[in-house]
Amino acid sequence: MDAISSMYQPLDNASREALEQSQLARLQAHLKYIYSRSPFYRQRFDVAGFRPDDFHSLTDIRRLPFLTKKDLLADQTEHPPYGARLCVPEDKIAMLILTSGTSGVGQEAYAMTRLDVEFGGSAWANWFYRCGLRKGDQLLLTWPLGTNSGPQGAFLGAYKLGANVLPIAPYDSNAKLQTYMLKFSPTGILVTPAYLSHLTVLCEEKGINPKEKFPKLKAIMIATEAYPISWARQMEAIWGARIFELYGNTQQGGLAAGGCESGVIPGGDRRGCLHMDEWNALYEIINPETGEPVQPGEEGEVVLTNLFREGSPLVRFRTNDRVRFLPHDTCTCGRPTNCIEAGTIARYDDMIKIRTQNVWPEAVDATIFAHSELEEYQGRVYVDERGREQVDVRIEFKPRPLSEEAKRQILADATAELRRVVGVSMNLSEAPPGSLERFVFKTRRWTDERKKGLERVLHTAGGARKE
Amino acid sequence: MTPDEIVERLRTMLAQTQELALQRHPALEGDIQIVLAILTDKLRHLDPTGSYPPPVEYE
Repeated sequence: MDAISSMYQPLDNASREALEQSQLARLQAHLKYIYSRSPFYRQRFDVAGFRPDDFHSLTDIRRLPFLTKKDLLADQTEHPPYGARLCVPEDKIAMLILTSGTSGVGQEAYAMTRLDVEFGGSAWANWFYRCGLRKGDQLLLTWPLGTNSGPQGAFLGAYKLGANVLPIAPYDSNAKLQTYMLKFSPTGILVTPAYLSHLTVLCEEKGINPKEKFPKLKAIMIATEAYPISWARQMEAIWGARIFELYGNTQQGGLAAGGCESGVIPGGDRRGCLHMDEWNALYEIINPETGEPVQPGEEGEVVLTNLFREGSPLVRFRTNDRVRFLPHDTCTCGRPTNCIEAGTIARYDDMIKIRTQNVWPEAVDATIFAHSELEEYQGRVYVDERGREQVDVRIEFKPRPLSEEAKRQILADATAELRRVVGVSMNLSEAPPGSLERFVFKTRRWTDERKKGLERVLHTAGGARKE
Repeated sequence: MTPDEIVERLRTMLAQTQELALQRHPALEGDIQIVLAILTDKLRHLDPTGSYPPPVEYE
């Protein structure tokens, strides 16, 4: 075990019992707050026959109904733009956060007060500290800053930590590497697994040995995709830095779970843990079919209830995120917070996270099938031989007479529309008539081959290098 | 300074900042709310099992 590094010792050294007592006290106060301020929650609580004064133990949370994305979007439609779940007057809103994704499904809107913003940043700052970063460290953020919470939180967290933060997302990969990384020699970098693979290949092509060229690098921080243990081990060897993983979601308001000093592959041959931020949210990991809590070691869906959130709090929100639940004593660091397994976070629904953006297949369907000439399509997300995340979409035209020029124009239009609506560039091409599968029951137009791609990149690039 | 003394000092700072914020001076508006939020957030982290200012009443 590594020595525990703590920004907030009262949190990290507390007993499990003290944590649960704090959760109960915070939740009792928060449920009263929500009930008194939000017509949306008051109505839901009343229907369930629930009064905040009746909340005596953490298991009482199960008396409340689950909340879904659909519920939130319906509330926003009825009471635009924030929904009747908004708990503060509009002049207290300091920032608007939207779930990344598409107009095809709808974006959840979260009103953030000053305190919500500070909390989000603190959660990230605390985790950066746990990853070994300190005031004055040079931190490179490769995630694009926008209206979604992850990059915002990371930026604020680095700022609050006192790090020297460089948001380099707008620049192309060559500039990121040559202009910024080589010039400023970062101590920490925030990337997706696929992008780290791409940077690795780029280094290989340019004859750069990352371990030698980035001697100050001590933390590579990743999120958004699952990855093989072998990939993580190899990346740590090539870059000469430890990998730390986080699990974030907009609904939690900060950083839902983060790894500790043990890293993502303690001992180099098994998956590590990410500690859930149970000081600021109550997490239930449930069987999505039965709604009952899963047992340690089992997979389940994350359901969260904020313990603090002034603007747009959530109570029993079903995230659709699939994780493996591990009790707090699985990790040797001694923190009292329960964990989820590193490297295996996935989804129960069809949403795919591509280059940090949430992509809903329904939104792609709506964009493509808005063209009456198009019949069917299939999408594939993969990591190419240079380690870049790519999206190929093969499309069949309806059997109508159409010139080649007209087809080219339709594909070009659809490409631009997808970029605008979904926020991700895709490579569209024509598929021969009848070559794509048709769906009678459950439509499965997408395949995700990135995990395989990460393994392959090891062989084409860094895998050849001696450790 | 002990951890308890730090918490106590932060509480004092919060009370003083709240007083100042109530003056509604144009030169402080915006920034003073940020200071209040930072102090409240710090207290929540450093005193997780103790009492803390209730939500929304920190301004």
